Amino acid sequence: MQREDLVIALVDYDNVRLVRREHTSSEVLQNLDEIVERLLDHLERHRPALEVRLRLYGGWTDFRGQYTLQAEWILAAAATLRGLKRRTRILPDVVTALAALPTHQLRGMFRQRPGVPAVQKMVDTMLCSDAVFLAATTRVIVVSDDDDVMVGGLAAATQHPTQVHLLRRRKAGTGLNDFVCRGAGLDLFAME
Amino acid sequence: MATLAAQNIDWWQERLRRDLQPFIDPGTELSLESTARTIKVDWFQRSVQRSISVSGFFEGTVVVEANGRQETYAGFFAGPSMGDLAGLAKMMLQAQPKDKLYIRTRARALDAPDGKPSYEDAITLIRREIDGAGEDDNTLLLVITGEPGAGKTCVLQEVVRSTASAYLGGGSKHLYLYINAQGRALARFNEALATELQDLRSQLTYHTISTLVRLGLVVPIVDGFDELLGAGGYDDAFSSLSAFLEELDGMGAMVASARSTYYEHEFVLRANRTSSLGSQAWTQRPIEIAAWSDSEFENYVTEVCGGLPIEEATAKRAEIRGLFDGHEDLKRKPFFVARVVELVLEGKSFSKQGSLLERLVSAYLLREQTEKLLDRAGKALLSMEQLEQLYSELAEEMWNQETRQLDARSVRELAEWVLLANDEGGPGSPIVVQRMPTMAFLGTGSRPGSVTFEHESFFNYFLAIRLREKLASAQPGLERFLGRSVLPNEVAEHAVIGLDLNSNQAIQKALDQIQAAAMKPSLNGPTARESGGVIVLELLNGSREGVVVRHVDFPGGDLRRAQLVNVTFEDVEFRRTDLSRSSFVLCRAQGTTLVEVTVDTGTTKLDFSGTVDLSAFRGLRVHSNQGTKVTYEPTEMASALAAIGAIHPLDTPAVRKVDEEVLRVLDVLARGYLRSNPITVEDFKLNALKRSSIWPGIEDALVRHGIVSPETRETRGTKKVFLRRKIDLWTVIEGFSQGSQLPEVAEFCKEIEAAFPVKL
Repeated sequence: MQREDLVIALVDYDNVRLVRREHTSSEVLQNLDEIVERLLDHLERHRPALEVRLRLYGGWTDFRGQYTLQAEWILAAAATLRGLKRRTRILPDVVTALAALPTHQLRGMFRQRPGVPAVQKMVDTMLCSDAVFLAATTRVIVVSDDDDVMVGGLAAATQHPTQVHLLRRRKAGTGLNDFVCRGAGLDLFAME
Repeated sequence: MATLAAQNIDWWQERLRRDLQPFIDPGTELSLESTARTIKVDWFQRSVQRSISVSGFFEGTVVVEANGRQETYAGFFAGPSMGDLAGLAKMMLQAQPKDKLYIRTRARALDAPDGKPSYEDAITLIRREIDGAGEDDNTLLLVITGEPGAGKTCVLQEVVRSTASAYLGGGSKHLYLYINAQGRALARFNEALATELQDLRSQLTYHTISTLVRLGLVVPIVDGFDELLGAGGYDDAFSSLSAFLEELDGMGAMVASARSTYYEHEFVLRANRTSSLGSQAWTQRPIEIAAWSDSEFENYVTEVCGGLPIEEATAKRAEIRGLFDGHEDLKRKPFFVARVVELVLEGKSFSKQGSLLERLVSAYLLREQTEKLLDRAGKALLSMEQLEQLYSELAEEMWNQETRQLDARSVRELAEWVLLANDEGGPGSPIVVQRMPTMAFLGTGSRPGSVTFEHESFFNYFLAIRLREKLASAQPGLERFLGRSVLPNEVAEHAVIGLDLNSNQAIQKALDQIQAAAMKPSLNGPTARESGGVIVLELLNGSREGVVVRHVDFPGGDLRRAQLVNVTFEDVEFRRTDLSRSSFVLCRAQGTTLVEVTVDTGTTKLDFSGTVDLSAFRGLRVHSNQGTKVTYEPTEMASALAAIGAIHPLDTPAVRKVDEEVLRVLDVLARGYLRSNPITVEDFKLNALKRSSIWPGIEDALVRHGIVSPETRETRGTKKVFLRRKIDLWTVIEGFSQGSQLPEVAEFCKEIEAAFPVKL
């Protein structure tokens, strides 16, 4: 099968990682590696690529713009992951700015207050807007189980048909809006 | 380094909060309680409750008491329970290759106070500059430049190694942390720093490093600073470095190496533009690593042949000198000389054809092929062509991965790929993969099993082979190749040498191919335009006639050998390109800008056939016997440009309606911002401002119109007012004659013209 030059994977990291709590950088690497394996499986089944830009979305910055501990782990893990895997070049990027506005790092992607559960902010919206922006020039794979993010994939697919895949842990057909997605040209795949 | 000075309790509370925050466990809070003379701090670190008492704020030395022990403030953070600098130093020494070749190298500070920089030992100079950090109340950014091969990386690694050793012996109060940003491109500064810390198996994190830098305990060395600048359309990657500088809050020091002084200026230009808080405070000091002189070359050759019998030594010296005849540029590169000498002393013969670099590479490849990469029967595992292909694949893969070292898995996949493609996937394949880190030109990277090129000259050489192939056969994917990072000049130089460029048609074909690639829409479009520009500079350096250059930017570089006739430039930006010996005759330019290009009124000829006027030029560097002077002064620029034929002599700027003294004051201020931001008029280098009777009025107007903003900073015991630049001062100077689209500048000029009219 002819290999495509470049695919951009937008990964909603906390939503699709397997190990629910991470305590070290090596656990992050393990999770990342598993996601990459599933992504490569998907590509090999459908359309292999020479290069995958892996954009990793999560609560990476606090209100001062400092990296969270998880972001520091993922930075180190991303550096380890960078390289060739199954003939595909994996280039990870820990996303803290919009693809369309790369000079402006966003603060407060992770909010934590005493007594209140920590939450991610802006992450889903960043991923969705990047999907729309990037699909204009490149094939995009949105990797997330979150229906909020599915909306972004849907918007991107509507504007750029055949350019967007949604890869998730759930099987195709199990989502409430899978029918809408297919009708709009957003191809749904399960991570197997 | 500057010592920590007495400050008030509130200031210290805030400082403790900031310095300790990166060390506390996520989700926990720092608790501070203060009395009149003491601050007690509690926090959780790695699930253990910790408690310290800090005092001595009014006695001159701040003391931290923890577990019944007293330490200085910096000493506490350097200790095993915090930064564990001793452990870090040990890891640094272990991580350094044992057989690393270091050749003593000289350097000079380009901004020597007497204006006459002199050469001295590079390591001594760097250490002295860093030890004096803090004098300007800003973070010191020492920018090390030097030609490829001059030894920048070797010097920096040696500084790290020798200082780590000195730290363990009590001879240094700080450590240097080497951060390899070479080829990092989109990987950015933060990833580079995280990787280095992980490789050193350090428990320190990105943010703890900024605390240690503020305290003067760690000095990060960013090798390949220019490659961070040159990524993702520049500002993308730069923003991560910019954010780190902001965290330093004007304290500590950093060292950064770059290919040329072009990147120093790029830093100044971009530093505050990409600042999210606008709170960086830095002072830049340039140091240039010296290429070898003739006498250093001779001394080295004499020394290495010293142990041989007299007759043999004489013959070897003659052979080495003969090889370098006509290759003066390569004699200046210590590492390159050392490698040639090594082969000569081994008795290897060099081919008679090609450049000395090609001959050196051929000699090494032959040694590798015939003596090392052999199967059990002594038969060569690879042909010379296959070997060259393997090295080129490695270089290209590093370029594509935006790194300069390949991990073990990538090396294995790549080698198998190359060997299979050549039907060599048999029993020899594992041997080749296993031996790769020990093969010629290669070395072990910082990670187990990883491979890196021993020197960037070799990386550039093999990458150039790939670029040449792409240009010669119009292979697809050139736009992505160019968009990875700004191409090193050496790569473009080697690639172009091997192209068939015997006619202007052939040159135009190559130009069209590059221009088409640079124009393709992509995320890295600006980088592709600059990489394209680097190749185009090489293509234009010669006698060229009737070609059209489109859609590229020239990032520095030179066109000193360019003799251009009837050449058209469309949508091109020259950025500080050296045109001091260029000749442009009957050329044309459309949509073209020339930013601070270097010209020499005695030797530059810049005939654009009346298609450009003064507005196409943004600043000018006028070269003369006295040196190079940067000017944005429109009358001065018009005069120099008319002298070289670039604009019509009557294309003079509009008559200014402001006192010349105003422009002189603004010129002093603009030059001040070339080395620091923010600046304080207390700086002795800006005495001219304090002496000027009109400065208070100008300062007031600059602040009111938002061109600079005042801020009071407490750094070493005294409060000083700093002025932070918000708008480029050169734009303001231009505003007096050319007007300005910026309302702030237009209003400022109007007010100043009224307040300080021309003296009749």
